[in-house]
Amino acid sequence: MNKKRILILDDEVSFTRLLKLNLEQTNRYEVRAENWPEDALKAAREFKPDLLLLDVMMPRMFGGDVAAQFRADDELKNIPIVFLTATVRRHRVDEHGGKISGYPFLAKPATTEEVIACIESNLAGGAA
Amino acid sequence: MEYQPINVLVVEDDAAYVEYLRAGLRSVAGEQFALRQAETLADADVQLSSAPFDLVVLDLNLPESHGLETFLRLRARVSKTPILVLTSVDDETIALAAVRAGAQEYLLKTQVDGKTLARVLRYAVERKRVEEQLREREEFFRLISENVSDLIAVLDKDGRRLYNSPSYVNVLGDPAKLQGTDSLAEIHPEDFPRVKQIFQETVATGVGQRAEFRFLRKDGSVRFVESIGNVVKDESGQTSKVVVVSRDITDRKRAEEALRVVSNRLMLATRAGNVGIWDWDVVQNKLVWDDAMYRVYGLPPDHFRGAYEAWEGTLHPEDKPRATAELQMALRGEKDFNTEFRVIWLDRSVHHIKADGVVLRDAAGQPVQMLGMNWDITELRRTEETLRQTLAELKASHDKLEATQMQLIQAAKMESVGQLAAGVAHEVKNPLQTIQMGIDFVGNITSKSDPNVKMVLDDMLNAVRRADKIVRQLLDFSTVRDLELAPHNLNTVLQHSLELVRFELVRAQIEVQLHLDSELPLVVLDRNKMEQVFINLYMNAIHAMSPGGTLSLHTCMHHWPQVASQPDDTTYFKSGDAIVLVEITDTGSGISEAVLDRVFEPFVTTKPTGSGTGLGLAVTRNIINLHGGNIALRNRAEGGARVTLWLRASDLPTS
Repeated sequence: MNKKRILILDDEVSFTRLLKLNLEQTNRYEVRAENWPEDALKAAREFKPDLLLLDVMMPRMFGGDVAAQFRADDELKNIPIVFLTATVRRHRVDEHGGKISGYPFLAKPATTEEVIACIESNLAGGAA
Repeated sequence: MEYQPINVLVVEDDAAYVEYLRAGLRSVAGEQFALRQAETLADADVQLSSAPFDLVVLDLNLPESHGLETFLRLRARVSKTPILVLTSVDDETIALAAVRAGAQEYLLKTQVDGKTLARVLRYAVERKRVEEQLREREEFFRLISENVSDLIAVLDKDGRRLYNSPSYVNVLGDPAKLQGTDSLAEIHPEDFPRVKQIFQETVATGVGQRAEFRFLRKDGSVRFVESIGNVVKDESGQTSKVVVVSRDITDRKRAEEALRVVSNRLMLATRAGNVGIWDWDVVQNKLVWDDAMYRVYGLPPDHFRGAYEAWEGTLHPEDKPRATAELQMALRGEKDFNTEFRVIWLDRSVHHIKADGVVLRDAAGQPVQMLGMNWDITELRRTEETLRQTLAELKASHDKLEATQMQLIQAAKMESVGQLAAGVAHEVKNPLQTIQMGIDFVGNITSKSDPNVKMVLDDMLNAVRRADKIVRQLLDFSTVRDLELAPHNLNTVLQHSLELVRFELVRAQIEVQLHLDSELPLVVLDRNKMEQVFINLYMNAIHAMSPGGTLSLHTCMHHWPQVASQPDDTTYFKSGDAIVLVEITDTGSGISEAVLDRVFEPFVTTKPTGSGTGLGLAVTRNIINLHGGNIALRNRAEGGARVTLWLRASDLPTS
C-alpha cells in the first residue's frame, strides 16, 4: 500500500513525537514532525506531504499565517490542511461540521483514532 | 363774708393822734378796724412778731428815725403787709419817695379824718387782696408753662420773641437767650416762605392758623413742629401780640415716615408676591379684598359680591368642606387659620392658595373681624411635584446605574477570567494531548488481554477526559459572551431538554410532573445555551434524588413585583415588567446550609469527587444573567430543593 505522507507542525515536541509513533505504527503513514514554523515551507517542499496537520496557536506564528503561506506557494497550495486547536471547544467544532472558516479542525486532546479519521476524510480524493 | 376786723398797726409816737384816728374810724366804720399803737420801730417790731396785721400805718417822723429811712427799715421788716405812710406838709417829697419805694399810699396828717382813713384803709386791703390774687395766678401760670411739654411762645407783631416757655430748651436752646430774637430765624429754608406768609396773614387778619414746619438747628439737625397761632389785640382792635402754641412732632414724623416706607415695601412685596389682603367683618358679613386678592382669585373686581359666600363659591369642591371647616374652627378659637386649598378661576384653571388669618374679638370673646392674607402657591406646588418626580426618577436611575455598575464589574471580572481561561486552556490541553497520544501508543504496544493493563489505560483515558471537560467548562464559563437570541416558547425548550436527558431519567427512575402554563408568553433567548442550562439543572436534580423521586417543572407569568417568590437581587426588574417564572423542583435531600450561599460560585460542588466539576451552576447563572434574568436555589420546607428562574417576557404575541 502506498503510505500517505503526513506533515505535522506543532510546537509541542512530545506531542509530535508520540503522534508520529502512533501514526506510523499503523503502517499506513509516513510522518514528518516539525516544531518550528520557519521550517515548515522548506520541510514541505522537501517532504511533499499529502496532508498537513497544523497547530493554530504557536509561540511565534499563527497557524493561520502558515496556512496562508502554503496557499500562496504554487508547489504547496494544493496540500490539504487540518488545524489542531486547544482553544476551540469540541462541541463548537462539531456544530460547524468539523470546519472553521472553511478549514477542517481537530480539537485537542484528540485520540489517535480521531486523528486518523480526520486525516482520511481530508486526504485528496477522500470524503472532504 | 365773715365779719372780721381789719388789724391795723399804727407806728406813731403821738398817742393822742392815734386816739384821734381810732375815734374817727369808729364813728365811720364801727368795729371794722382794730387799731393798735407802736410808739417806736422797735416796738413795732415786737408787735409785728406777736400778731398778724393786715396793714401798717407809719409816721415817717419817729423818735429814733426819720423820713425815708424809717420806711425802708419797716419795709425790710414786713415785705408782704401794705404800708401807708403819714407825713406832715413839709415831708411830701419824702412821702412820695416812700410810695415809689413800695409804700401803698401816703396821707397828710392834717388832712386825715375818719372817712378818709377808712376809705384809704379799705382800698389798701382790697389792693392787697388783688395783688395776692395776681401773684397766685402768676405762680399758677409759671407752674404750667414750666411743666408743659408743648412749646408756648409770645411774639410781637413783627415776629420778635417776647416769651418762650422753658420747654423750648429742647428745640431751640435756652429760652432766656431767645428773648427779643426773630422767631422766624431758625425755620428751615424750605418752609420759611410759607411760614412767614402765614404769620403775616395772622397779624393782618387777626385770625390764627395752623402750620407744620421744620426748625433747622445750628448743629444741622431738624425738628418737625406743628403750631397754632392766636392773636392778642390791643384797645384799637389791632394785633399787638401773637401767642403760638406748638408741639414737637419730630418723633411722630419719623414714625410716620418709617411706616410709609414699610407700607410701601409691603405693598411692593405683596404685589410682587401676589399676596392678597382680605378683611372680613364677621358681624355684618362684609368681605373686603385688596387689588392683589382679585388677582390671586382670578376675578375681576365687579365679580365679587363681597361676602363670605362669595369666597366659598370660589373653592374647589373637594377642598371646600375642609377649608370652610378650618375657617369655622378659627372663628371658634380652636385653631389658627393657616391652611391651603384649591380655587377654581373663571377660566376653569385650578390654583393652589395658601391662607393665613387672625380673628379679632370683642370683649365677650365673640369674633367680630377677621384679617388675613392669601397667596398663590400653584407654581410652588407644581415645582414641588416636579421635584418629587425628578427625585423619584433620579433614584430609579441611580438604582439602575448601581445595577449596571455591578454587572460591569462582573463583566470585567469575567473578561480577565476569559483571558486567563484561554491561556490556561491552551497550556493544559496541549499536555493533555500528549498524554492522550501516549495512552494510545502504550495501548497499542501492550497486551490487550492483561486486565490490569486495560484498567490502567482506561483510568488514564478517563482522567484525560475529565481534565478536558473541566477545561472546557472553564472556557464555557468565562467566554460565554455572545448569545444568539430568538423568541422561543420556554415550555418547548424545557421539554426538549427533558428529552435530551430522558435516558438518565429512566435509569434513575425519576417521575416527571409538568405544570406548564399554556398561555406563557415568548421569551427571547439563546436556545442552545438555555438547553445547556436546563440539562445542567435536570442532571443536578437527578443526582440529588436517584434512585427514585419526582422532578417537577412549573412555568407561569406574573407582572413584577406581584411574583410569588423573589430573587435576592431585585434590581433586574422594574414595576410592571412581565416576568416568566420557571421552577424546577426535586425531592432529594436538599442543599446543606453551609453550601447554599455559595452554590453558584465556581468550583463549589456537593457531588463526590470525580462526578462533578462544580462549574455547572456557575455557568448556568452566567447564562441566565446574560439573558437579563435571575436564578435562585433554595431548599423547600417539605424537603428537596427548588431552582427558580426569572426571565423577562418578550412583547411579541404568543404564537
